Amino acid sequence: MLIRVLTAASLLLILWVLLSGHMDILLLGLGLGSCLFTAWLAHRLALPDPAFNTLKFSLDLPRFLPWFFLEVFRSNLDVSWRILHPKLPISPNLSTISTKSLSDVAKTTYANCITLTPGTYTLNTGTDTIEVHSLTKETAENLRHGKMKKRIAALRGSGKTS
Amino acid sequence: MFTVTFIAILIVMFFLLIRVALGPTVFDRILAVNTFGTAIVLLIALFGFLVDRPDFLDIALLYALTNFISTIAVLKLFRYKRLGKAADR
Amino acid sequence: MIVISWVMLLLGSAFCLIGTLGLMRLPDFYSRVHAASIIDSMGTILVLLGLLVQTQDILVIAKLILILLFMMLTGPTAVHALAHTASLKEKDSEPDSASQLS
Repeated sequence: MLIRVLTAASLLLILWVLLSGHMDILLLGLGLGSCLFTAWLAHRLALPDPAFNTLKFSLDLPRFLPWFFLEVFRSNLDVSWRILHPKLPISPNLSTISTKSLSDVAKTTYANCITLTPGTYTLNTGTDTIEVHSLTKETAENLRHGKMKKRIAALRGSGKTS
Repeated sequence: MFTVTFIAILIVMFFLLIRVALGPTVFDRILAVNTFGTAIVLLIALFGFLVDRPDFLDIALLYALTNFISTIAVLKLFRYKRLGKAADR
Repeated sequence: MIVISWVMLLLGSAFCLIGTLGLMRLPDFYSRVHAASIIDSMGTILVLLGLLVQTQDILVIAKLILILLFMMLTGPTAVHALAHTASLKEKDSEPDSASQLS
């Protein structure tokens, strides 16, 4: 518990130095105080899932992010093409997707990634399903194939699956 | 080159204001205001580079956070009709 | 390096303009969210990355990356909250659905 608070405080201190850029004793002391206070407040506020391993999860992200940004770029081109098309070839629809095999952190990541990709966004979240609004039938079909879900499920350290 | 992007974002903001004035539902307006905030963040960052004073990035960073909180606050006010308590169940 | 930055800035402004066009053209609220999400994702990424390759100052790079990170984390949350509230307002007749805040 103390280790968690101190780790959070030292990460916050790095953020403080990056943002301020000053190395005076006074400013560093103020930063240390506020970082410790913030870490303590965050510890009081939330009970992080002990099965969620932040280090493992962050180390796995570089394998996921390039593919994800490529996907964002591709769907951006698709949606832009549809907007520029004089006839607006869109077919908005709702679909429900099961997230049964994912842990809580993975579910949140999945819903956020869906919303970040243009052409789809999450409208509603349940315990085992998420409701997705998509601009066209094809994007909904793509989502149902679950390529992104498999990639997110492969991220290690995201806690136990409920 | 910064000037071109600057002008493009100004045009974007102009049309977003039209959407705010036009928007049939209140959610259209909130969406346009949220996107307007994104455009402002980009504009401030660009302006910092345009006048060669990167200190403006601090303001952009703060604006990015405030924009999110204001959107959530407006939505909460709209949904529960108050800001203090979470919900009457 | 300068050329890459120019290309990114120009592409970013183009995506922003396309997103605005979509915001004006698309017929209903739920479709317009997709157009706004173009500005939120590609416009932001490309413009900020275009600024990123212009500078060598480590503090400026850190700040730009932090802005990008905050936008990527908060943008989807705001959009989801907005769409969720809109969908709740639509089916207002069911009183118990209002208490399930996700």
